[in-house]
Amino acid sequence: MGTLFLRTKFGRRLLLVFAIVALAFAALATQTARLTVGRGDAMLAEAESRLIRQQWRPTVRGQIRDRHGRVLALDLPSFDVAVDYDVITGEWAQREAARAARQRSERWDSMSREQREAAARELLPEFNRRADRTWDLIAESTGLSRAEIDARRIAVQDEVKSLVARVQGIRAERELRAYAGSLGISQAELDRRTQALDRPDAIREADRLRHVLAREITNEAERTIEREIAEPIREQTVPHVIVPAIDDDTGFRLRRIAQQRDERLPAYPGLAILESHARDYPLREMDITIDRSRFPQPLRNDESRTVRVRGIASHLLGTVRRRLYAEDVDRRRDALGADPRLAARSVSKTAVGDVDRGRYFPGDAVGNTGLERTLEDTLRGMRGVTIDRLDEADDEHFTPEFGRDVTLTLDAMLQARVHALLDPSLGLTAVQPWHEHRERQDPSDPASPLLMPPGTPMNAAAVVIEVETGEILAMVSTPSFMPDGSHLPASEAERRELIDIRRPHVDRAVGTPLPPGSIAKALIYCAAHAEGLVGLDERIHCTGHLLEDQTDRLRCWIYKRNPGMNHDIDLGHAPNGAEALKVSCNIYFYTLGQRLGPEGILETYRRFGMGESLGLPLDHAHSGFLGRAGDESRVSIGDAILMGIGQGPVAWTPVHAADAYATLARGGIRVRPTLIAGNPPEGIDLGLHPGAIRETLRGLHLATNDPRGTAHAIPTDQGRFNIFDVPGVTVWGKTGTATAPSLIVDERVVRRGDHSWFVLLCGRDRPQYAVAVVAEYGGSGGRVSGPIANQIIHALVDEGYL
Amino acid sequence: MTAPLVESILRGTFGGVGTLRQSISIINAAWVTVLASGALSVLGLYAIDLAEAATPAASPSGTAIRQAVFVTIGFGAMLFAALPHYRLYRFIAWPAYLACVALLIFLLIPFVPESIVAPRNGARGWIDLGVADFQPAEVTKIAFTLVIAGFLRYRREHLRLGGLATPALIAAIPIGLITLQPDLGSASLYVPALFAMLLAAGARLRHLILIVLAASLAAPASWPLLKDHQQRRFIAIVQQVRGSDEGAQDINFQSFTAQRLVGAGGITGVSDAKTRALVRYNRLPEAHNDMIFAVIVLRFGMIGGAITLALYMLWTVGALASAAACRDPFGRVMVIGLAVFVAVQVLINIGMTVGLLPIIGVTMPFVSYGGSSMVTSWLMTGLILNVGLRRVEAPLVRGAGDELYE
Repeated sequence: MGTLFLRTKFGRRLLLVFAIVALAFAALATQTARLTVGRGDAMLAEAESRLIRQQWRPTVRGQIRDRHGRVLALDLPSFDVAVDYDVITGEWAQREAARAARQRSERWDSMSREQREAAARELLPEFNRRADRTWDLIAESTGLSRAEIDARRIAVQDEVKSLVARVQGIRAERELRAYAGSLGISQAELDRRTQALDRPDAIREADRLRHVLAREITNEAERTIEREIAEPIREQTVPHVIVPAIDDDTGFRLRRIAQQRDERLPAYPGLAILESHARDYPLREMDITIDRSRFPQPLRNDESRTVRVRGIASHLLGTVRRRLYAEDVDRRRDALGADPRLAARSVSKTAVGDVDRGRYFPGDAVGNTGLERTLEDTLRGMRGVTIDRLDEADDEHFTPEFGRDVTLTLDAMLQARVHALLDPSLGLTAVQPWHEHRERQDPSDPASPLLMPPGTPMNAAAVVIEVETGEILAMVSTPSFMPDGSHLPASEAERRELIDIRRPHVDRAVGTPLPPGSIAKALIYCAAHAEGLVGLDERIHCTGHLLEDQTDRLRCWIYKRNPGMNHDIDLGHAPNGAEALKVSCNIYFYTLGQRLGPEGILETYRRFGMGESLGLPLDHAHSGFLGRAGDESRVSIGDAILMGIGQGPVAWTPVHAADAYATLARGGIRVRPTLIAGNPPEGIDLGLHPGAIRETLRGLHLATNDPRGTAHAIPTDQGRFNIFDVPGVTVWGKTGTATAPSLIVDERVVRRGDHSWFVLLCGRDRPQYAVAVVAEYGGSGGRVSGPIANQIIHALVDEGYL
Repeated sequence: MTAPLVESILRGTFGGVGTLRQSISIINAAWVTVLASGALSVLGLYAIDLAEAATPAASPSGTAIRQAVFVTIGFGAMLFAALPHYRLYRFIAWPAYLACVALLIFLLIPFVPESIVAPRNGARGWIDLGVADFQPAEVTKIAFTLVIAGFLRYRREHLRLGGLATPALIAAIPIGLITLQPDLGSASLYVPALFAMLLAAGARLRHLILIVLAASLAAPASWPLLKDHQQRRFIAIVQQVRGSDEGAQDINFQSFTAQRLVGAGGITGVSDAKTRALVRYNRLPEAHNDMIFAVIVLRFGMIGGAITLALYMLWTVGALASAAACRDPFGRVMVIGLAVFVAVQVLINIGMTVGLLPIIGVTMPFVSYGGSSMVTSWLMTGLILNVGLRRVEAPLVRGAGDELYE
C-alpha cells in the first residue's frame, strides 16, 4: 500500500511535509548534540561555577624585626572605608530607579520600552540623592572634602576601567595565541605576521592578532574567545577603598551606620567598612640625641643635640602598595610553580579545585620596594576561606594563617644613630670651610664662586658589617624618604633640588656604584702578592709620576699637590707595601696594576665580590661595574694601571667596600654579607697569604695611627686634630678620594669634585667591625668621611658593640 | 432514543451503512500520537517539578501539581474531542472561529480592566478566569484549522493563484490580532500551518513557492512595523550567530543561560538534585515554561533531548499516518494543519532554547507549564485520534483534493 500511496499526489505532498519536519528536527538534534557533546564539559563547569560561593577571611602580613626583636614593620588592625563599585559608577542608582519604577507602576507590564525608561529616568534623581548620602557621610566623618572624595571615586573608576581594558587585552592575546597554536601556527610565525601587518590603527597586540587571524578563525572559536575575554573581573564586583585606615571610633560608628536601612533600601548605599590592616613602621621616625662633645674640633659642642630622624631604613624595608597589578598575579603564579614549599603552604585542595589562599585581592598590601617586595611570599599571609556549595549542605573551612615574620641582622638603634650622624644639620655631611675646595671651582675660571659653598648638604651612605658573621648591622643612605611623601619640602624649588640633586629614593649604600679610589689599594696589594707579583717587603720607588718622561699624567697625589715632591723624598726611602698604604702612594699601586695586567686586575676585583650579585634580598642591590661597558671581560693595560688605584673602569658600593675589608680582617675568608638573620653563609677562602694580610693591616693601622698616615689627622685653622679618638678601640683604615664625573642637571653642573670614601676595620685588639662611609662629591676622604667613620665607632660603643 | 442519537453523533451522519463497529477503526496510527502526547506530558510534569522545586525535598512543587490537573483536563478534552465524528466539527468551525476572533479583539480593547486582561511582559494575551488564565490564541489555532479544512473541502479556487486570497484572509485576521497583542511567537505558527493545509488540499506548488519568494523579498519592508523589543530580539540572534557576546547580560541573557544549561547536560545528564540546583542558581528565566527543553537536556543529557525530539517525531508521524489513512479531504487537511501547528511550535521552542532562533516565546506543547497550551495540545491529539478512529469512507461530496488520489 505504501508505494501505491506514494504514487498519489497527496502521498507525495504528505511525504514532503514529513521531510521538511524531519529535516528541521534533525537540525535541532544536531545543535543539541553540538552543545552537549561538543561543549558539555566547559558549559557544565560554567554552570557549576554559579553554585559556589566563596567567602574569604582576612589574614595578617608577617612582621619585619631587627636583630634584637624590635618590630620594624607590622600590620595594625584598622578600618577602611570602601564603597561598592556599582555605587561608584552610578549603576546602582540606575538599577534601583528602574526597579522602583517597576514596583510603583500599576501598568508596568503593558508599558513600552520607552515608557519604562522614561519612568525610571524620572526616579533617578531620588536614588542619586540617596547615593550622595554615602559620599557626604564619608566626607563628613573623615574630614576630607567632598571634592577630594569625588576625585578618589573617579580615580577608582578610571583604575578599574583601565584594569578591565588591560585584563581583556591580556586575555585576548593569550586566547588568540593559544588558538593560533591549535591551528598549527607557531608563535614565531605569528610574531612575524603581526610585525608585517600594515595596520597602524591596531595599536594593541590583541588587535593586531585579530587582524592576522581574521581569515583562519571560525565563528565558533571567535565566539568562545570573546566570551572568555568579556567575563567581568573581580574588581567590577567588589567594594573599593576610598579612605584607608580610619580611626577605630569612626570605624565602629560607620560600621553601625552601614547596616541602617530605610524604605527597604540601605540608608547609605554601597557603604562598606572593611576590616583591614594598615602597614605600620613604628621605628621609621625617631628622635636621636647625639653627643657633640666628641665631634671634630670645629663642630664640637658640649650641648648634645636631638635630631628628628625620618625615613629610618626606608630604602631597606621598602614600601607596600594597595594597588594591584596584573604582574603581581603573574609573579605569584610563577612563584608557586617554582617553589614547591610555597605552593604546599599556599594552595589548599578544595571541592572546587586548588585554591591559592595567598592570592591577591584588590586592596591587598603588595610589597612594592625593598624587603617588602623581595620577601613578599614569606611575609604574605594566607586567607581563611569558606567554600559553600549551594547545592550541598556541607561547607569547607580553611582558617587564616598569618604571614611569616622575618628577623633582620640590622640593629634598628644603630641604624637610627648612624642615620642621625649623616643628617646635614649636625655638620658632618655638610660642606665645611676646612674641607678641601680645590675641585669645587670651575677649572676654566679661577675667579668663579665655589660650586658647593660651606653648608651645602651632601648625599652620603654608611655600612657597618660584623666581621665574624658578615651580618649587616647598619646600612644607611641619606637623604631618605617617607613612604607617604612627607619628606618632601613644601616649596617647589626645594622640592626640585631634593628630587634632582639629592634623590632621596636612591639607596646609596647598595644601589649606586661609585669608583672606589684609594680604598681599593689594600685589596690590590694582597692580590698582587698572592700572584707573586710583589714581595712582602718589596720597595717601589715613587718619583711622583709613573712614566719617567711624562710628568702630567699618572702622577702621585703628593706630586700633584706639590710638583717635584714624591714619597721617596717624603719618607726618605722608597715605600714598601705597608708604607705605601699608609701614605696612599699612587705610584706603588699603579705599578702593581701594571704588573697584574688586565686579566689579573679584573681577577683581583672579582675575588672580592665585584661584578657578581651580593646575594642581598634587595632588587635594587647593584653588583658593581667592572670593565668597559659592552665588553666587561677585557680592559687595556692603561685601564689596569688606573684600576690599581681604584680608578678607571671599576665601581662598587659601600656594601662591597665593607665586605672586602671584612674579608681582609678574616684573613682572606670571604663571607657574603647578609641581611636576614639565621642563615649564616659559608666562607670562601680567597687564598691570600697571611703575611700579605699582616702587612696590609699594618699599613691600614699606620694610615690611621702614624702622624704621616693619610687618615690620621685633619689640619684646620684651629690646628690639627686627630680623626680617630675612641679610647681603647683600634682602627685600621683607608681613605679614598675618587675622581667622579660631575653631576649635571638641566645642562647645569650642580656637583663637582671627588667622592669621599673611608673604609675601616675597628675593634678592641682585633678587627670586629668593618665600616664603609661615602659622601658624594665630598672631596677628601680623610677630611669628610673620616670624621663620620669615627662617629660611627662612637655609635658602636654607645650601642654596646665595642 | 438516546442510543440512535449517540450513534448518529459517533457516525457523524444519520443512517449510514453497516454496524457502528464497522465504521470505527480501533486499531489505527493515531494511537501513536496519543501515546506520545501522554509520554511528553509525564516528562513535562517531571521537568516542571525540576524547574520549580529547588530541592528534591521541596518536590512536588505546586506548579507541577497544577500542571497535573491541566494534563488530566487535557486528557478528558482529548476523549471529548475524539468521540463525535469529526465531520460534525465542520458545523461549529465558523462559529468557533468568529468567537475566537471576538475574544482576540476583546483582548485589545484598551479600557478592559487589568483584573480581566492582565498584560504579561507587555503582551495582552490572557484573560483572567479566576481559577486560571485563558489564552485565546491557543484555541484559535484549532478553530482556524477547522475553518480552513472546511473551506478547502468544498472549493477548488485555491488551485488558482487568486483563489489563495480567501484562505490568506482567514489566516490574516487572527495573525494580525495576535501580532497586535503582541505575541509574535503564536502568530508565526499560522503561516506554516496554512501552507501545509494548502499543500495537502492540492494547491499548486509553484504558487506556494512564488508566495514564499515574494514574502522573503518583502520581509525587510516589514522591519519598521515590528515593535522595538521584537527588533532587538532579531538583532540579538544575529549578534549571537555572528559570535558576539554582546548582550550576554541583558537581551541575550536568557538564550545564553539556556544554551549553557543545555550544554551542561552533556551526553547523559546530571542528577536530579544537581539539575534543580543548576537551574535555580543559573537563574534560567521561564525555566518551567518556554525554556523547559533546557531543563530536560540538563537532566537527561543529549540522550534525553534526542528521546524528546523522537517523541515529537512519533507524534507527528502518527498524525501524518492518520492523515494518509483518511480518505476524507476535510479530515486529512485538518490533521495535517494540526500536525504542522504542533511541529512548528516545537521547532520554534527548541530552536530558541538551543540558540538557533530568536526568543519569541512559544510554549513546548504538552511539556511547558500552562493550562491553555496543555488543553489545546490534547484537543489536537483528540481530533487526530478522531480522524484515525473513523473507517475509510467514500466522501459524500466530491471536492478539492479528491483528484490527488487518482
